[in-house]
Amino acid sequence: MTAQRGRSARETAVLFNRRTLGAVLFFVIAGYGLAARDTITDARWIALLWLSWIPLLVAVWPDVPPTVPPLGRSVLRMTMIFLSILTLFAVQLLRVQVVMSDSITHRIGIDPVTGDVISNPLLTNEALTIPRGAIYDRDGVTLARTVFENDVARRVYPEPATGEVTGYFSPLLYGSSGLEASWDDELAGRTGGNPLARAVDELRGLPRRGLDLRLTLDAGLQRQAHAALGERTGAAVLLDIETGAVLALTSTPSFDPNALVVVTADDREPAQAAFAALTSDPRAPLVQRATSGLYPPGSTFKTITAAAAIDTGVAQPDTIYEDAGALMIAGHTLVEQNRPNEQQTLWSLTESLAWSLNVVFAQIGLQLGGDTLAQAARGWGWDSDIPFDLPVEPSRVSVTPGFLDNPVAVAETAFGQGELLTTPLQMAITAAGIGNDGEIMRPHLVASIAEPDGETVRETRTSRWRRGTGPEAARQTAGMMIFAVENGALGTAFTPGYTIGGKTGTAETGSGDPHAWFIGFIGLPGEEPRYAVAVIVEAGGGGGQVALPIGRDLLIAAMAG
Amino acid sequence: MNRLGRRWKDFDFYILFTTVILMGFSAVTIYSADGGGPLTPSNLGVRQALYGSLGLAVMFVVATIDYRILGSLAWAAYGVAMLALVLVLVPGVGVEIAGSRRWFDLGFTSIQPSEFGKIATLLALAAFVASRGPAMRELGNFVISILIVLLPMALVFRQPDLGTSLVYGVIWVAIMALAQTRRRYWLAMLASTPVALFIAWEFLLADYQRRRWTVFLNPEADARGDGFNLIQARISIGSGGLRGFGIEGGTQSQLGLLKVRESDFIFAHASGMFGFIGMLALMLMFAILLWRCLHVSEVARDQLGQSLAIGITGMLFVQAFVNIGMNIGVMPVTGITLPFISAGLSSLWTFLIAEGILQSILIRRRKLAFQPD
Repeated sequence: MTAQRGRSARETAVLFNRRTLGAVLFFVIAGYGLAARDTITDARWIALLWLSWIPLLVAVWPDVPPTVPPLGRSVLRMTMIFLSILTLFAVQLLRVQVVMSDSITHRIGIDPVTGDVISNPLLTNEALTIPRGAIYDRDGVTLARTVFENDVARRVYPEPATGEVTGYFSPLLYGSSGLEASWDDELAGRTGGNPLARAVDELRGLPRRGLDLRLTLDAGLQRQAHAALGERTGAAVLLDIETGAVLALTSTPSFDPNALVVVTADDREPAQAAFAALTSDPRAPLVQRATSGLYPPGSTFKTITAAAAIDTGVAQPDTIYEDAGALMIAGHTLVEQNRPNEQQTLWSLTESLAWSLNVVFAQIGLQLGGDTLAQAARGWGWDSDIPFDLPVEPSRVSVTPGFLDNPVAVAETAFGQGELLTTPLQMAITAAGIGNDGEIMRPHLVASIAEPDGETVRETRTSRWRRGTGPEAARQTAGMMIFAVENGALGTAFTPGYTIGGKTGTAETGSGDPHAWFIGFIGLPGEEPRYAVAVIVEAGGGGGQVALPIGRDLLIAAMAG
Repeated sequence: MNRLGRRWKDFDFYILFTTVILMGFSAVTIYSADGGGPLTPSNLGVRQALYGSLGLAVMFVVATIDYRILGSLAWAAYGVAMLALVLVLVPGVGVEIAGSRRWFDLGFTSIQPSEFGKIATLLALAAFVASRGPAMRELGNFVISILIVLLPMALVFRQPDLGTSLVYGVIWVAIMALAQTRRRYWLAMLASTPVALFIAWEFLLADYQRRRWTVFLNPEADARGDGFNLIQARISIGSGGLRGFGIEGGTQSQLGLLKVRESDFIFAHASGMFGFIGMLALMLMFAILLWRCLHVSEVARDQLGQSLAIGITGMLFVQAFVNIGMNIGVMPVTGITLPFISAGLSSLWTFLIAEGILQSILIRRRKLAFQPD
C-alpha cells in the first residue's frame, strides 16, 4: 500500500516535470519567435514553429490508464496531435494578425525589376471611388470635402488658411498628410461608425461612405493668425484652457493642398510642379511648425523655472534676488541686459519674471539643480510624446548626454537657452496649464466624428493629460505673468476689460536673428483664464515687439469669439 | 422507448450544430469573396447556402441508411467512382480548367468526381479491412489495401491534382492505423518512404509542383509567380488584424489580388473579414467537430464502423489542416479545399455524406452492457 502510493507520487512528480518542461520549452521557442518579429526570416520562423510542436506534444501527450483499450488509446493520442497542430496554427495567426499586423498591412514593396515603389493598390482604388468624409471647422465651415468628377473622387479644400491642418489627400501621388493621414481610417469609413449599419449598406449594394470630422478649429481665427504672421515664417497655437480644444494651429508659410491632389493623369504635371516648388523652398512650407518645429524656448521657459522654484519651496513670488548686472558662474560671466533700471540691484521673483532677468533665473536654476530643473520640464511634457491628432515632435530638455551636469549649462537652461528645444504646441499647453492650476488638458483638434447624415458617432471627451506643477505654484506663476503685462515689460499686451498674463522670449539660435516668442493667456477680470496662446516668429527679433501683438490679438479675438 | 426514438437519441447534435455553423460562416465568406452585391443566385455564396441546405438533407438520408448496407455497396460505388475518374480524363468529357481536367460540367454546376471518389474509396477500403479482420496480417491483404487506394491516387494525379491525390493516401494511413496488421509492414513502409519520396520528386512531379512544394519557405523569391498568392494571403491575413474588415473583406480581396479566395484560399479571405478573433472562433469550431468525430470510432459497434469513422475523421482533418497550414504559410501549397468552408458542391457534399455515415455509425452504436435494451 505504502509502496504503491510512493510510486504513484513519484510518477506524478515525473509527470509534472515532463509536462511543465514541455510547456515551458514550447512557450520559450514560440515566444522567442514571436518577439523576434521580422528580425528572423519566414523560413526560420516556420522551422521554429514546427520545432515548438515537439515540446508541445510532450506537454499534452495523454497518460492512458492500462484499462483503456488500444482503440481508445489511439483516439486519445490522435486528438492531442490534432489539437496541438491547431494550437500551432493559432500561434501563427497570432504572429501574422497581431504581432506583425501593422508592418504587413503598411508594407510597401519595391519592384525588383523597375525599382518602382509598390503600395497597396487596393487602397488606391478605394481612395479614388469612395466618398471620403468631409472636414468641418467648429462652426461648420467646410475645410475639406469630396467631389466626384467622372466618378473619380477628388478632395477639395475651400479654405486656404487651413492646409497645414487638414493636410492633403492625393491617392495617385504623394499620399496624404495632416489630418487626412492621421484620421484616414475614419475619413475613409474603415473604422468608427456602426458596423451593423455598414454591413446592411453593403448588403444593399451601397458604396461605403466616410465619416465626417468636426474640428475644434476656428477658420476665422486661423485666417487671422495667417494674416498676422503674413510673409514671416512662424507658427501660432491657440487653445481653450479648460478643454484642450485647439482653435488655431497655424504654420507659415503654408501651402494650398488643392495643388497637390492627383486623382487623374492630367493632375500629375501641375502637382509635380507645385510639389517641386514647395520642397525647394528653403522655408519648408510643408512642415507643420506648430507641432513639428523645434525651437529654443528662450525666456518663455522662465515660467517653468519660476513655477518649479515655487513648487519646490525654493522661492516665493516676493523672494528677493540680487542682480547687479552680471553673475560669475564657474569662471564664466553672465551679463544682464534686461534690467529696466540700472540703479536697482535687488529684485523680487515677480519683478524678475516681469523684466525677464537672466541673472536671477540663472541663480534659481543653480538653486534647483539640473535634475530638478529637468524633472520640472518633463512634468510639463518635455521628452514625452504629446497625445494629439497630428504627429508631434517631443520637446527636449537637452541633446547631449550629461549636459546638465555643468552649472553653466544649468544656469542657461533655467532662462531658456542651453540645449532646450520645444514646439509651439508644447509652449501653448504650458501657458494653458499655468492658467488651469497646473493641470494640462489633452490637446485635440477633432471634436467629434459623424455619419454623413450628421449623426454623431463619437465625441472627443475632454481629458486631463498630466499635471505640470502644483496648483499653488501654477496660480502664483499665473499671477506673476499677469503682473508682467500690467506692470512689467509686456505692457503692450494690456487690454482694458480683460485679464491677460504673458511672457515673451527672444531666443538666441547661435546664428542669425533671434526667434521672437510670446506665450500667454486671457480671461475676464476676477475669473479663470479661458484661452492660451503661443506664437513664434522665426528670426523675428524681440518677442515683445513681433510675437506679442499677434498673440494678444488672437487671445482677444478668441474672447470676442 | 420505441426503436426510432432510441436511434435518434444517439444522433450527435454537436456534429450537426458545428457543421451548420461552419456552413453559415462559409456562405457569408463566399458571398463576400465573390464581391458581395445583391442576394441573387449569381453570387457564389448564395449558391453555396443552397447547396448546403440540400446537402444537409442528403446527410440526413445517409444517416438513416445502415452503414453496413453502405459497406455492402462499397465495391459498386468504388467501381462507379473509378469509372468516373477515368472518364474525367477523357478530353471532351471532362472539363479542363487552368490546365487540370477535374470536372464534369452539368450545366448549372460542375461535379468533381475526385471528391466523391474519396467516399467510395473510403467505403471500399473499410469494407475490405473489416471483411478480412485478423487476416489483414497477411502480406497479400496488406498489398491489396495499398492497391485499392493507389488506383484512384494515380487517376487523380493524372488530372493533375496532387493535393487531392494525397488525401487518398491519408485515408489509407488513417484506416490502416486501426487495422490489425503487422508492425513490420509499417516499418517497411516507413523505411521505403525516403525512396518513394525521391522517386516522386525526381520522376513524378512536374517542375511547377516541385516549386510549389518549397515556395512557402520564401514566397518573396518568386513574388510574381508561385509566391504571389502566398504573399497576397499573408497581407490579407495580416491586415485583418484583431477584428478584421467585416463583410467587404480585406483589401487584397477587394481588388481581386487574392486568387481562388472562395475555395482554396478562403481561409485567407476569411481572416481579412473576421480578424484574429474570428479565426480563433473558427478553429474552435473545428476543434469541437474533431473531438466529436474522433469519438465516433471509439463507440462504433464493429470494425467496419471503426474503420469508416477513423478514415472519415482523418480525411476531414488532415484536409482542414493542410488547407489552413497552406493559407497561413506554414505548409506547402497544395490545391486542397477547406472542408465545409470552401465553395463548391462536390467538396461540401462529400463531407456532408461523410458526416451522414458518421451519424449512421453513431445511431447504430455499441450499447454499454448495463444499458437495458
